[in-house]
Amino acid sequence: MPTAIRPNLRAQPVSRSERSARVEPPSKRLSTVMPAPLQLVPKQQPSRKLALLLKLRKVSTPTAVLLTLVILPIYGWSASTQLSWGKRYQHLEELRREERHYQAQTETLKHDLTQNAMQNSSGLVPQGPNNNLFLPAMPSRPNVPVVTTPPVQTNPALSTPLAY
Amino acid sequence: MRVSATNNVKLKSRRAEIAARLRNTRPINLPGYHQRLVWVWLLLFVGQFGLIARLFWLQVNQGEQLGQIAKDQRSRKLSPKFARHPIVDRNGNILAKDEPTFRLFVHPKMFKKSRADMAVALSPIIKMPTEELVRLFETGKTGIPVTRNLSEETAANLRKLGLDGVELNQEWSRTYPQKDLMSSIVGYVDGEHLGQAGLEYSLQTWLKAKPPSEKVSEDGNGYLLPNQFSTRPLNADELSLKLTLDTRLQWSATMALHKKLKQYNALRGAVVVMDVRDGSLRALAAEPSYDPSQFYKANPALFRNWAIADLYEPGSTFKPINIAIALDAGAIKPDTVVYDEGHISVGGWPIQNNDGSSHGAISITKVLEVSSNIGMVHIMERVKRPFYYDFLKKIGIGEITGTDMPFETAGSMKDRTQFVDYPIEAATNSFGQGFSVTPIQMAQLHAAIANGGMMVTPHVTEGLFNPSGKLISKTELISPRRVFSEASTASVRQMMASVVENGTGKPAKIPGYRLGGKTGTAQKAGGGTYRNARITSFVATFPVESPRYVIFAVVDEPKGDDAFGSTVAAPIVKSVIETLISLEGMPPSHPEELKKPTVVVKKSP
Repeated sequence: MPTAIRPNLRAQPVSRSERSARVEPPSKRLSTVMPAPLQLVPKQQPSRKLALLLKLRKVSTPTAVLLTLVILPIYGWSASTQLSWGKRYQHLEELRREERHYQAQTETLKHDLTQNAMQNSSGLVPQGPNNNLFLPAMPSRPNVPVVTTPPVQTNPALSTPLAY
Repeated sequence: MRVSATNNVKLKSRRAEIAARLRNTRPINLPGYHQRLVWVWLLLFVGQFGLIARLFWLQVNQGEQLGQIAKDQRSRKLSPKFARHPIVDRNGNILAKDEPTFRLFVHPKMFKKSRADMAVALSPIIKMPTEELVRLFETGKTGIPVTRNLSEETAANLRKLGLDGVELNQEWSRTYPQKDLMSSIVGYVDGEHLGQAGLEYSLQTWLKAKPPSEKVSEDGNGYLLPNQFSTRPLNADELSLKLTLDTRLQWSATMALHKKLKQYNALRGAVVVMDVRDGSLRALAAEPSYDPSQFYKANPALFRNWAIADLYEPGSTFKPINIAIALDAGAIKPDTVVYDEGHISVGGWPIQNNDGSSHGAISITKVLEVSSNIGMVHIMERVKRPFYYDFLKKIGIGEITGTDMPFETAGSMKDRTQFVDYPIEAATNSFGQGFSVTPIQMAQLHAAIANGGMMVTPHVTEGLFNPSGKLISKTELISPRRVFSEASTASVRQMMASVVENGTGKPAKIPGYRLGGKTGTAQKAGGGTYRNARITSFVATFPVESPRYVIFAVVDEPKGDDAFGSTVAAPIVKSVIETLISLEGMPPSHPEELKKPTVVVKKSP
């Protein structure tokens, strides 16, 4: 047998004044078809725990927002740094590749230039003792002792005052 | 009362109405809904449990394995920069270097565009005519080799096109910027990138570069991420094999040698410049040579450096070694006088001087100055033959030098019994015939005279160095060992200096400097007898006051009546020493002999 669900009229505690209002003469009650409007429950003082939680929320919410605002750029920076590192690494690799390429080209050029220079027609003379200048070695100079001069007194102690 | 009854009826009907409305809003529970509820609940519970179990399985049991798979997917190994380490000379000039090249394959069945469009897209990058490409694409459906030796830039441009059905395979090509200058030492690699001659062959395992083993992570765009990178320098593994050779000196030696080979229409020649302190070679020129990048065109006989691989009878350049042996044996003193009668007979065999002349009573120094064969025979007759033989073995005659270059041949020498029993053996050995050595061994023996009696091992490799110049590994060489006394070698050096000042070595004289030297002109043996062909050589110790280098030149089969060690080989050595003086900035020991450079000062009008 299904049971009917009834509105819980006792959900709120009924004050004495309300009770007295309810025991009005039926004639008066019948005149108003709609049931009496529910009154707001008087505001109760929140418990200490609740107050603490409320305070905590007041602090934590702006903190969370603030932290989010701070962390987002840091996260973005860290991600972009890695990306830019990767791009720079690639650039470095390209530069190193070019360096290796130029090194090989330089060596080939050096070889070709030397080969041309070695040919008699180039007019270049190989280096030898006849076209070198050898200067006699300078005799080693004796170490000059460092002369310690007495410190110059830049602010001599004045015996008489300059002015009054 | 009636009014009241009416009100009651109204109230009841209103209540009934509310009750009916509430009944309508309440869910209608069909029969069996409890059971259904349980099934749904059970389903959800089992589902949830299944999810948790699966999560547990993935995270705990399979976590490590899956994590590794994920890591592998987003990470890759760094591409190697070379497959073989580069080879550089003592000044860092590149002698051999790897270049990555690419081989292009196409798979027409994977083309998303028409063959003609693909040919048009590829043609300007790989520089091949469009028609040829189209024709090539029609030869198969997959795996058609198009071209090879594409550069890294070309490969990058091809990748940018993002075409399907195009495959690039990396290969390596070895470049030799010095061409034929160093090929007799460095060697070459074949099409499989394997060394087949020179150091490329003998140091194969050493030269093989270790590919980067560490993996690094990359992002979706292919950029590498720094998190897995090693903290070591990026080029820490990029080692290079440093040689002791000097390219400039090698040039000088090669050109001087080349000139004389051409002048005397000689078969071949070699020049060795050795640092006598440690046996390191500053130059090792062997002519004729070949271009290692076109090894397939060269005569295979050239792949073995003949200064290391071929034997010859040293002739008179061996006389100073014999003098040192006789001095060490106590058989002679530096001021001993011997009699040169011009020709003698030993064991029934006639022996005479090169020019057939007799020099009479001559000092040991004079024996070297005039290169008297008879004088040498008389000197070595004073040394007991078993001692002489054992000494020759001690200095490595008939053995290899232990150099780090490949294909070294051990010298040849008669066996002990024959040497001791037949006086002709010791007699011919006394002027450098009857046994054979390699040119590199002759340089080694003279280095021992120059450095005061220590036998050093000739070598060309300094070691594997990292980019910051730190030595990573070095070849193991035979340690230096004493073979001659210091006093004997000092005497021999003085005698050799006199050879250049007053004797056959005059053509090598350099004003302002003092060097010791000895010429050599030996008949070549062939078919069991000596032929008319000769092999000329000259060895120098420079500077003679405090020797640093031994310079040895040998020219095989020079043509002409004036082809001797003094005319063919000595000028080569002189030219090399002159370059050495400039390179090392060696001041003259006798500056008064130098020509004053003429300085022309133009007067301003």
